[in-house]
Amino acid sequence: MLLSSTSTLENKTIVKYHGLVNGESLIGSNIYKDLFSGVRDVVAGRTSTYAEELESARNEAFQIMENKAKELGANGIIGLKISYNNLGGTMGNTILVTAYGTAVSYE
Amino acid sequence: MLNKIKRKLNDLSIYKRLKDEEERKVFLKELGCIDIGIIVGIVTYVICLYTHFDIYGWNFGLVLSPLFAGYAESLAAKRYLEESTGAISAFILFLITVVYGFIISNPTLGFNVITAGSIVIILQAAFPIAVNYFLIATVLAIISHVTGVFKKITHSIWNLYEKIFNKKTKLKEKIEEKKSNRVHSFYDGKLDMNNLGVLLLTMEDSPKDLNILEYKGIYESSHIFSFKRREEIKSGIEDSLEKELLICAKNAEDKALLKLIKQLKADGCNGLLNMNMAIETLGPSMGENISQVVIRGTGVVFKEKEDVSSL
Repeated sequence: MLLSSTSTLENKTIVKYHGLVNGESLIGSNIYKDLFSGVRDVVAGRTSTYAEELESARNEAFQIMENKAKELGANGIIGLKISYNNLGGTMGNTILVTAYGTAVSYE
Repeated sequence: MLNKIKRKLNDLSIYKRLKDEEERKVFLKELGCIDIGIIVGIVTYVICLYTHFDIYGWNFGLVLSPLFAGYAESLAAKRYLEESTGAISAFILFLITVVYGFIISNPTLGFNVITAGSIVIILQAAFPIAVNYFLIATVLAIISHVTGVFKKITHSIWNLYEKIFNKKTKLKEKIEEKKSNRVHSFYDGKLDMNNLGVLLLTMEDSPKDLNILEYKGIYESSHIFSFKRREEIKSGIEDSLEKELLICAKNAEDKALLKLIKQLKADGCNGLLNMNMAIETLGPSMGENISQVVIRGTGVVFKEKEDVSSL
């Protein structure tokens, strides 16, 4: 499955536009994890836990989106967009990762 | 009427017992044991009062006398009856000490921490099973429900048990599993937004191979969704609530998209270009976090209205 954020695919012919495909995933708010992350910031450590989890969430969203595209018979996704939204309030962070694009069949 | 009363009296177990000679002897022995308990309790209370065995005006006799009464009664019952009488004297002593200590002796006693604490201790001495049940079951259950601490403890004990006894589950696998549990996803394959007569395209530039007849302008739709902050706090402990939140967000996306498709179809559009989707948090309100899904794009009319998806 080819994923591209561009509007067209150079040297490829798009034979069919299948429409919108999207995928969502959520990183849960864990107050203990947040506290631990805060402590690491103070002692100049890297908050690698967040980075790992964001990557994991992004991959999860991509996977769902790709599965939907495959079900439509597509072999590529163009105009790919991804957004990270913090839905959390005062207690912890709840990050929603949304990936969406246009499923296409190309040759 | 009198016959009725007589019949009821005959049915009473004490009345029956007093009729039978053997049972009467046992009954009197029981009364004797209770009396011994009451005497020991009263003596203990008098000693405590006389020696001023108290702290901040609260006498230890209030607790010791029912305890000693019950103990003495139990010892006597074991010796003479070879069975328990139920520490009735402890309950009687509880009544005696409360009436004397709180009403007769100290009528001006005010309500403060010491008084409240003493009432709890006295009740504990008089009704140990009921009070212990309340303290252990009810109070601990409230703490557990609010903080979730016991669930976490039992969960970690169970994990430890699994780790020790289930050799197949390796620690590394467990960590990986735990990591993957932090990220939640939701897949709804049933709803097909691409089969509603409007081609949704996310590209910024309009594709050259699509023949656009008319640009209808910008279209936007939104759907507001909310979730309670309490659930958010809990979600650190319970993952299922996060899944619910994800489903809630996903449903809001679908609803906003459906609204947009309805608008487009009403205006005769069969395509949407440069579709953008944003989720914005509007902030907490009345204990809930409110967010909205906004979808916008440019409505267009493609040449081939019958099947816009096939070029």
